Formats: sequence, structure tokens, C-alpha cells
Amino acid sequence: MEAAATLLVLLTLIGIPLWVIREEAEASRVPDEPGLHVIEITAVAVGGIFTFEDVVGHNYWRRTPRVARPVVRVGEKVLFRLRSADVIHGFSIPELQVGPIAIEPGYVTEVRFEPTEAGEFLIQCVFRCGGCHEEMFAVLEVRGPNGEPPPEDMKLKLPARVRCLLNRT
Amino acid sequence: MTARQYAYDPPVLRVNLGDTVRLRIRSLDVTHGFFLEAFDINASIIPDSPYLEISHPSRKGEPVEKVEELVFVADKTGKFRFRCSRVCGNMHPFMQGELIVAPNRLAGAGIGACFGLLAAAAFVALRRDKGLP
Amino acid sequence: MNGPEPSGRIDLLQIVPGLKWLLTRRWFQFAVVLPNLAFFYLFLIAGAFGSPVGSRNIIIIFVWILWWFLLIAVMVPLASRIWCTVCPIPFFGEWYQRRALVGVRVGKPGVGRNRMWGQNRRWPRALSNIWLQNFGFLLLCTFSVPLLTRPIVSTIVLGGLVLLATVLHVIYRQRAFCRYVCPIGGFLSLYSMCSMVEVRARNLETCDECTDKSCLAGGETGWGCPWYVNPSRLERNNYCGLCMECLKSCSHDNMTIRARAFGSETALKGYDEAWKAFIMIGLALAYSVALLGPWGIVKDWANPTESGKWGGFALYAVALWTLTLAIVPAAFYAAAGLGRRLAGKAGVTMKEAFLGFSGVLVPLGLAAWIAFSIPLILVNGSYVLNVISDPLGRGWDLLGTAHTPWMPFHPEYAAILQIAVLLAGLFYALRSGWRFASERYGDRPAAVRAVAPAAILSTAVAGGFLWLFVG
Repeated sequence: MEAAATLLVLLTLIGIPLWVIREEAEASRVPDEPGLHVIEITAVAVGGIFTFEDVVGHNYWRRTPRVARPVVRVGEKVLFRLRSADVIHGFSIPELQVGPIAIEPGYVTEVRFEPTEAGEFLIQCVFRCGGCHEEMFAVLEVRGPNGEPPPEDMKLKLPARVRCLLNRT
Repeated sequence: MTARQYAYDPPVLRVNLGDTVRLRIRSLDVTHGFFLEAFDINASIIPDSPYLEISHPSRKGEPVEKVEELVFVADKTGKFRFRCSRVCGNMHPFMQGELIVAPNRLAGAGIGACFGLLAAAAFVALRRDKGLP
Repeated sequence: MNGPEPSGRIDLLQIVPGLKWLLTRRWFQFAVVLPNLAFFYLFLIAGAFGSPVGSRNIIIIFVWILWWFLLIAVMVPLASRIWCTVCPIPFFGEWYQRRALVGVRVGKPGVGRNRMWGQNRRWPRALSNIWLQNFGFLLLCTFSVPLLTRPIVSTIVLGGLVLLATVLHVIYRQRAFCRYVCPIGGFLSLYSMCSMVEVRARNLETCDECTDKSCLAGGETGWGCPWYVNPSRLERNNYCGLCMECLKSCSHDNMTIRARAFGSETALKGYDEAWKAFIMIGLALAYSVALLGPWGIVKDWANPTESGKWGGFALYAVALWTLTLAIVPAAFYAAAGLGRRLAGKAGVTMKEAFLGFSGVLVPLGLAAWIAFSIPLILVNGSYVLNVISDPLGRGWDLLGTAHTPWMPFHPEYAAILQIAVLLAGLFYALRSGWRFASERYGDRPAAVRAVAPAAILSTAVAGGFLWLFVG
């Protein structure tokens, strides 16, 4: 009986993390569509950041994530999977008529679109999320159908940050 | 009224039974909610918007109303709390205020019961013919 | 040594079919701890790798809302320290000491007749009280806002307790952590005095004649009591962790579990226990004001890492420590002193009166905490549905309930429940004070005069909480 008990404990210690990893993989699975480009973005109020990084319990307070710069191509089917690390954020790419959509914390919000013109476009947060909301931007780079960089006149310069993330781009 | 992380201002509303209460609420920072228990009112307070989005929890499936002012009649007495219903940060579950509709009969009865209990205990203790409990 | 057999106790092992069989299985404790260990492990993972948003993370919802409510409102009043029976925190430490999960080992070196690993040192005499737990709990509660709202903080603290327990159990014998260090154990010990269940020796003469004392020293059928308690002489619930070892180790089958009326034990046996009572009632007040109150400024002070108001936090912390360690004790000291003077009889020392009348805070404090916890569960209980489908707040939906909207469950009825609970607490508090006064002052009018100040103070405390909750 002792051996059985020991085995159960070991199964628990190994099994629970494995189960968590498996469920996370399951939940992250996207429809099996050929050519679907999935981009995962997390919105963070502290610093006003859209990031590719996974912002979770152990790193939310410790580090400032890097601002994301998603890159897609004309004609691609793009799926944004959006998360919030703290409060309700918004997601909007006004020039491409994407959103505005609310990102609720604890859920994954999905937005699909297909870019039709190359260039650099502004992603902004449209629900006031804190002190850094007005500076919460990111740039979506849309390249040509074969990967050509966007034309010079379609490039975007982000407004300079005044209050948040002053020592980072 | 204003709402901020994590309180309402004024935190306590005192009205009388039968009063019509009109509330204009604006947010000073992020999206907040206003869920008033017992009055079936749930509002979303969106920053930079003059409108409140009102819904009624008991009536599911109804579209939200956009109003500038939340109006209701204080038709019950007692202390009711309003709480934030849109996740607004860390202390969101503790963001609440109080609506006190006078006369607060329940509270009065409760306090009376406390002292009544004390009096009853004293009475029982002082009766000479009973044995010690 | 052994007092008279108390009446009004029901021997549960005799009347509940199957209970005795279950509790005397060697695998019983393992069977109830393992699921808890699994959940606890999941919670720690969720806190570190899940959403930083408290209301979407299972560690916050299950620990501070669900478990807390069940603990204070159900487990403690009904079943004493039953949480300790199933608690996973000492699991690894005890496994190390016993090198067994279900079995028993005899031999040397060890403790008593049991073979035990580790250094098996005795817990220091100077710390053989609940002072460590008093200060530990107070410290934890000063930082309650980050603890209750940030998943990673809960992971660090709860994970830290497991680590601490394991380390302490390598050095010290038996359940030293559980008995003398665990912050939860501190208040469980106090409030278990009111509980409706007790582990006691069935027949005291049998214990008198027993020569092997297996309940204490252990034997082939069970480990010696790991709680630093002598089961044959157990008269109070405070330090019995309901591990059920003594039911198995007693060679005369003389240990049992009995049901009894609520509020049966009322006597505090030391300043450490009295201060626990003061700390708990003070904390109930602080929490009711800071967390359940409408005043944003207090919330800002309690939440300095976000509000930046460290000055306010210092004020809050100082106020909290002064209230619990000085002001509340002073009030009860005054009430006890006044009562003693009014009664006018010699023979009752100030210490006895102080400890005796402070005992009213046991049922009253428990009632205040239950009343505090009622709105928490009614308002936030629906989050349980969300997190069972999405423990880490990452967008899972295991059971289909992840998108359940937040639905407070009739919070307007909390008021009447809180009043009922506070009145019950006051009743038992008055009864406790009266019991002490009438036992120490045989003369009835003197007893009434003695208990009057404490009774009035208890009523004022109950009334104060009532006003805070519903007024």
C-alpha cells in the first residue's frame, strides 16, 4: 500500500503540471486553416504596452515587457488572439477598420482580418486603462504579398512617449 | 458621483424612503461598474463618455440602455451596497459604496436585539430561584 | 488530573455507521490529503503562471473566497481543526520524518517508540506558545491587500509556508510547524474551543491504568501524537489537529470523537491565547473597514504598492498593531478590573479575571469573522464557476462555465444573516462571561457585578460590528 501511495504522489507531482501544459496547448489551438497567421498579443496597463510576451503572475510585477511590432503580409489571413494582464483594454487599428474591440482580462478575445494594402498602421487602445493609456500604441507592419517592405511614404512614426516607458522604444 | 480606482465619491449616499435618486457618475480613470444590490441595477461607467450603460440583472437578454443619469426610487429601507462590476484593477472586488435609505429599521432592530439580549441575560442572571446555568 | 466526565457529549464513533472503520484505516489521512495536495499544487502553479488578475485566478478565488468561507463558517464551528486533518502544507515534512505515507515505523532513533528521521529536536520551550503565530498572522494581515488580490503573492506566501514547514520538520520533531508556527493554526486553535466536535479519551480510568501510553509514545499501530499533545489527557480542542493517529495507536481502543454543543470551552489559558483573541477581533474590525467599507482613503492606505501612499500605509499598519495589541486588550483589562472591583471579593487575581473575561472574545470573534465572510461569498462566489473552467485565467473553458457573468447571490440578504450570526455570537459571549463569573464568584449578585462590564463591552462590540455591517 505504501508503494501505491508513493506512486500516487509522484503521479500528482508530475501529472498536474503536465495537465496544465496540455490544457494550455488545447486552448491555444486554432482552427486548422492553411495560411492562417496567428498573433498573440497581451495588453498591459502598466506602461501602456501591447506585447508578444506572456504576462503572467510571476513576471507582471518584475519586468516591463517589450512593445510588440506585429508583421503580416498583404492577402494573409490574420487572427489576433488578445489577452489583458490587468484591466479592460481596447484594441483598434482604425485605418484598417479592425476593432474597436474590448479585451477583458482572463479571456482571449479573437479578431480576424485580411490586410489589403502594405504600410505601417497604428494600433491603439480605446478603453481608458490607466495613466499610460494615451501613450498605448503599437505599429502593425504590413508587407507586400511576397514579403516586400512597405513603401516609404506608408511608414509610421509613433508619437514620442512623454510619461510612460521613457527609456524604451 | 465619481468613480476611481478603488472608491466612489461620495462613498456613502443617504436618502429617505421614497426619494427619487438621480445619479450622474463619471470615471476618473478606467472603466468601472455600478451594481446596486436589491435594486436590480447594473451600470457600466466608461471613461470619457457622458453616458452610463444600464442593464437589469433580473432581465437577461435585454439590450443595454444608454442614459446620462441613473434614476431610481429608494423604495426599500436599509443599507445597500453598490459595487464595481467591471474589472478595474487589483482591488476591484473591494470597490464598493453604501446607499443608506432611512429609516434603517433593520439596523435599529439589530441594535435593539443586542441590548435586548444583554437585558435578558441580566434578568435571567438575577432571578434568585434559578440554579446557576 | 482528570476532571469529571462532561455530560451532553455524543460518541460519534459509536453512532455513525462506518465512521470508526474509516478513521482507523491507515490510509485515511493520505486519502483526504492527496486531493488537497493536488489542488494546492495547481493553485501555486496558477498563481505563478496564470493571469495576474485576482478574480480570474483560481488561487485567489479558491483560497481567499471559497476555502476561507468554508473554514470559518463551516469547518471551525462544526468540526474544530478538521482543516488540519486534510492540510497539504506539512505533507512533505511529515513524509520525510516518517518515511511512510500510510504505514507506521517502530524503532530507534526516533520519538517515543516510533522510528523517525530528521534531527527530532524538541521545539524550544520559550516558543512553546502561540506568540509566533500571533505576530505571524498579524504581519500577514498587514499585507493582506497584496495577498488577497495578487496571485503571485499568494503563491509565494503559501509556497513559502510549505517550504518552511518542510524545513522545520527536518529539524524539529513531529508537527512543530503546525503547532507553533502556522499562522492559520493560530486562530484555528482559538476558535476550535467553540467547535461542536472533540477528540477525547472515552474512559478515563482506562487511561489511568494504561501502562504503554501508545497514544503519546506511539507503537506498532500508530504514530505518537504529532501535535505535542497527550491524547489521554486532552481536555481542550485548541491543539488537537484531528489527525486520528491516537484513534489508531491506542492499545485499548479508548480514543473517540464526540459531538457537543457549540461554545463548550470558554477558558483561555494564557496571555498568548488572550492576545490571539484580541488580534482576531481587531483584524475583523480592520478588514470590515478597509475591505468591506466604502472609504477609498483606507483602501489606498492598505494598498501602497499601487496607490503609492506609503505614509498612509505606515499609519494604517501602526493603527492596526496598536488596536490589536494595545487598545483592545486595554479595554478588556479595564472591564475585567472593573468587574473584579465591583464584585468586591478576594480570591480572584487580576490575571484570572483578565483571562476569564477575555474569553468572551472567542465566540464573539468567531461570529464577527463569519459575519464578515458572508458578503464575500455571496458577492464573489460566482467567480468559482469561472475559475473551475479556467483556473489560470488564460482563456480555457474546461467545463463550459468560464464565461459565467459575475452574479452576486442575493447580497441584500447578507444583512439579516450577519445580524443573526452576531446575535448568536453575543449570546455565547455573554454565556461564556457568565460561566466564568459564576464559577469564580459563588455568590450570584457578586458574579453579576463581576461580569457586567465585560458583558456591556461585548454588547458594544457586537453592536459596533452590526452597525458597521448593516447600519
